[in-house]
Amino acid sequence: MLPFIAILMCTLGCLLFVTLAIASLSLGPSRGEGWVFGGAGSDRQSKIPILVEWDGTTATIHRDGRKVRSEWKTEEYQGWRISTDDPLNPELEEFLNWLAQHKRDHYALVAARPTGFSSLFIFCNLFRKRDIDVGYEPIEQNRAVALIPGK
Amino acid sequence: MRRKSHSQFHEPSLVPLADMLTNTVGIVVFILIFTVLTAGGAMVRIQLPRERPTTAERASFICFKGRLIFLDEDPLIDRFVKPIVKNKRLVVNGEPLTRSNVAFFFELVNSRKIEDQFVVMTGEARMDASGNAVDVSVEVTPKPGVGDAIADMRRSDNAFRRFLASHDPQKRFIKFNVFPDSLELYKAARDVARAAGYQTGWDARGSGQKIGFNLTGGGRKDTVQ
Repeated sequence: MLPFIAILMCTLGCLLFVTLAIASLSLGPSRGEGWVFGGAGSDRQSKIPILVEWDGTTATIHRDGRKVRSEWKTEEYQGWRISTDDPLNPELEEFLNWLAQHKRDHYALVAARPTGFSSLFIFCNLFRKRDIDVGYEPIEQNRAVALIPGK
Repeated sequence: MRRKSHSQFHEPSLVPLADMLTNTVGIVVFILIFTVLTAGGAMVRIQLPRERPTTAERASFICFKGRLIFLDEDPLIDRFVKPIVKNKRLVVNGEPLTRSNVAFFFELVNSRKIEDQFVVMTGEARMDASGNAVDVSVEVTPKPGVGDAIADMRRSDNAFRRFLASHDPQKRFIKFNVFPDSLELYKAARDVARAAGYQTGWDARGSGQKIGFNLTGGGRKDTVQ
């Protein structure tokens, strides 16, 4: 009988460990955020947001159910980040051109990671220069984010 | 006659224990599934930001090292420039700035320091890229330990709420300067400001980045989101 109780205790201990591990991972680093837009009860949104994550070196564009990553270089000048004279990556250029053509009913929503804070203003200038509306919201460095249409 | 001993050992049945084990494992698996499904992701309904211009007067706050610090920029800048500006022109000891006294002007500005209960303001003067004009800027450094912490946001009598209650939300908007170590504080303060009827905007500040104002060049237009 004693060996059986030992088996029982070991089984319970293992299951408890697995439960706590998965719960902590779900509530901690792998926890994501879904930003809800549109739908009943939301504030008026006459334009559709296109989510772009910015972490200081890479822009991650959420479009058509895909994520497209494109690097954009900045450099430091007298304690401030400034854009370089390098041409834009083709993916980023294509996205900016597309958004400029659809700026009447779309705008850029930038999810700003802490590592992208120092260059956020000049990154948003890429949109402002093309008269594209832009909004920006901070998000923790390793937290996933997605736009979810409201109901 | 000897009686046979009736002390035969009967092994206990393991069926109840197996039943107990199975039930326990089943309940724990159920809890595991429930925990994963409910904790898998957070749905956050936020007011999606989009820049728009404002004519309201700015009230600036700094979110730095978990503290919300009031930046009373206009009086500070007025105090800072008092000895170096006259009739909207740069001066040195009341005299117009010239090439002969510009070095003294640089020393005056670069060594000047003023403060209030929240921040210390210092200056920087240098020739601009063309070499024909002087750039003057000021830099603000928050003092350690001042301002409201995030725990204070839940109190009804913190300094931030008193500030909001004493000003008109139709005439002023709240601008937050947010450092990476204070995201939660910013979001909590923003919610408090919006609940009080204020429009808000924010500027992102990188780690180690200064909070500066250029006194001789153009500035950014204020926007809210």
